[in-house]
Amino acid sequence: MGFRVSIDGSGPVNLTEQCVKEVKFLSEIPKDSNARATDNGATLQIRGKMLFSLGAEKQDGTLNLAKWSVVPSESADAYRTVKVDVVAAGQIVRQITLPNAFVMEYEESLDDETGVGEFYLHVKQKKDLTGLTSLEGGFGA
Amino acid sequence: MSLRVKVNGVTSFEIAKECVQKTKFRTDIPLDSNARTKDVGCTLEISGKILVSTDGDPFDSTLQLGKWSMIPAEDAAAYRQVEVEIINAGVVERKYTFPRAFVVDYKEDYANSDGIGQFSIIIKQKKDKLASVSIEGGYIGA
Repeated sequence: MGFRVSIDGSGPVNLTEQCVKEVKFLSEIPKDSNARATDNGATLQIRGKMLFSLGAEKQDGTLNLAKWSVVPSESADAYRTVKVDVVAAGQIVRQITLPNAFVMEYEESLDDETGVGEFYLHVKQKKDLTGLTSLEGGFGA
Repeated sequence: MSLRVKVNGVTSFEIAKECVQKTKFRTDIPLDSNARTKDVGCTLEISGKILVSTDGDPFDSTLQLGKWSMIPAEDAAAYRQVEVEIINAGVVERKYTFPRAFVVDYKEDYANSDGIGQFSIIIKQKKDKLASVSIEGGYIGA
């Protein structure tokens, strides 16, 4: 099972199976609700490796993630489309799309032991547009 | 992979790559926000070894970190420029620049079994100056 993450915007990001380690999709619904609530959200948590291209031949996608995380709220660029494909056995098991996502958390860890870095990205769909989130699956890759 | 930390300001110093073991860059955004908020902060966490300076070894600059952490808020020297470079196979993979950084946490640990100490520092960019944080990378250099 592999994951492909693509993010559009002024600094597009395309992460492949080689670098994405873990993807979590979370529906954020208040746990104390007595009936179906309207206060629903949708978030994605993505963890992966920062694979640096030798000789800087290819562009490093995680750099644009880091830049996105510091875009101020007044910029239109703060909201981007995040698409995650979960691929297994030649099929897209899930395709999760957050069309107006913003960054909630971003972290990069690097140390002198592992040789590669790790990133953690937590994005959320703008809450009033939660309805535009799409979850699909079961088609060919 | 080598991690290099430079601090510029009233006194400038560099934490040698022999010392720095780990760096973490993270954003501080309230987790209950419904849309992109203005309340965004940036933090750097750096930890590593406190190496004893013996004959001609790199100057033990971690002491300077400790001194920085004790500077009172009314002193202009509380804010400094911090640059962290991550260099891998001749390529600068990341360069974080925090031009108005201040210390939020500094720790030193020693034990009689280790022979060396460990330091850990957490610094933040002054929150109203977030726009001047820069993240670069992916260019050849050393």
